[in-house]
Amino acid sequence: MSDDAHIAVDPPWGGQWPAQGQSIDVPTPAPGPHWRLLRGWLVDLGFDIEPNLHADHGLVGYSIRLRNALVGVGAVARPHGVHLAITAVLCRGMEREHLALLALDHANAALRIGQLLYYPGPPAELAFYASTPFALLNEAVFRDYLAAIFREVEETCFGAVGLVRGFHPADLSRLWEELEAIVAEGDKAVAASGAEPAPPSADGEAPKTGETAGAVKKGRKPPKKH
Amino acid sequence: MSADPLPTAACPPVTGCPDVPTLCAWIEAADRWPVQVLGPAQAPTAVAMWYPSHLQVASIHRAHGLDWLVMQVTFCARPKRKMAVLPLLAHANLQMEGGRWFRLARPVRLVCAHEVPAALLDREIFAATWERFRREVLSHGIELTLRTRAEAWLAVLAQKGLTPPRRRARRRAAVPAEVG
Repeated sequence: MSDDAHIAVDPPWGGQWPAQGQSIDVPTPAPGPHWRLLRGWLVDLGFDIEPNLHADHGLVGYSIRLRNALVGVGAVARPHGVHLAITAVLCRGMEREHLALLALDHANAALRIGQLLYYPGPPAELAFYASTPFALLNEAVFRDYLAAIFREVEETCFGAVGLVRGFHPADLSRLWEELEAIVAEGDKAVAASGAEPAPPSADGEAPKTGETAGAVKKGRKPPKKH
Repeated sequence: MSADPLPTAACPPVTGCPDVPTLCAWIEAADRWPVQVLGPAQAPTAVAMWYPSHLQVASIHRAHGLDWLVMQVTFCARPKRKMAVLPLLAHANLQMEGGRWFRLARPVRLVCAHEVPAALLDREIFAATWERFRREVLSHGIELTLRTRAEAWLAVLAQKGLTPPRRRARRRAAVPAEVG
């Protein structure tokens, strides 16, 4: 199972998650140097990028994870040349879907970059999308462009998400609840067998039992619940 | 990954951005419709092209530390079928590849806007971006106007006495006195 298979059933680009052990260095069927350029920029900025592979189209983008969103970044062919496209599913399923159109309209009026989209579903989704000609980017502009988009998503789009209060695709709370339950079960089993549980290490790592070892090793912490 | 979504990288500073007169020259070269510079003459703020169907405006804005070319269109106003506006806008946004539609309230107007980074903008990319935005706006704006029974924005402007400026006629051929 891929390490990120718990994030969402479907990636934001509509493709498939890479198989286990899939390297990032996948050959791209898209012609042109923009893919290599894009990957280099993302790596230089410090992102853990993951290729988003489609069964028919091959590499359709890279996924990067932010604090509260999983963002797809890719190069798409448009009538007037290659464009950089950025998309993020911000909300999947809505408790108050009757407010979705109103929230969408308010967010689009307040946005300064990109657009918020509403997919009726089911499940209904709010997604962010922005595109720009690839020729208008270099490393510095790309960095500022990404930063601007992240700020717009955080400052404006999550207002709409809060209004409809849907399940967040990148919310890891459920995962960590499951992991804590696994750890608790392991502790119970150790206690029942009469052995002393292993003391936690100095840096606060949890006992590495079973499936939790890999996740804890990467130093991920459970996000705050909203 | 660190908590900071964008760690500082050693990038050269972003410099260079077209000003309004440059935009005006590019727009005049892009099409044959009347062009109007908006704002005071000493410090123009935007350039507008009066198409037969709508008024498309380009300006440079600074946001999030970056200069942006902002293209904006107020396509129609006062839709009669107000309940139909939001679903139609949502649908238009799904269809729209570059730009977003939204509604301005009181008075109700339907607006479309699109932004691209302006630091590396040149005439060819601008012409392509401008034309692409015009086509997308046209294809969805006319549909929005018809379906919501809204008034065309140019008609609203005409009611206020705002009409397109006259553009100097281009000389297609030399006058006889110039020949020989």
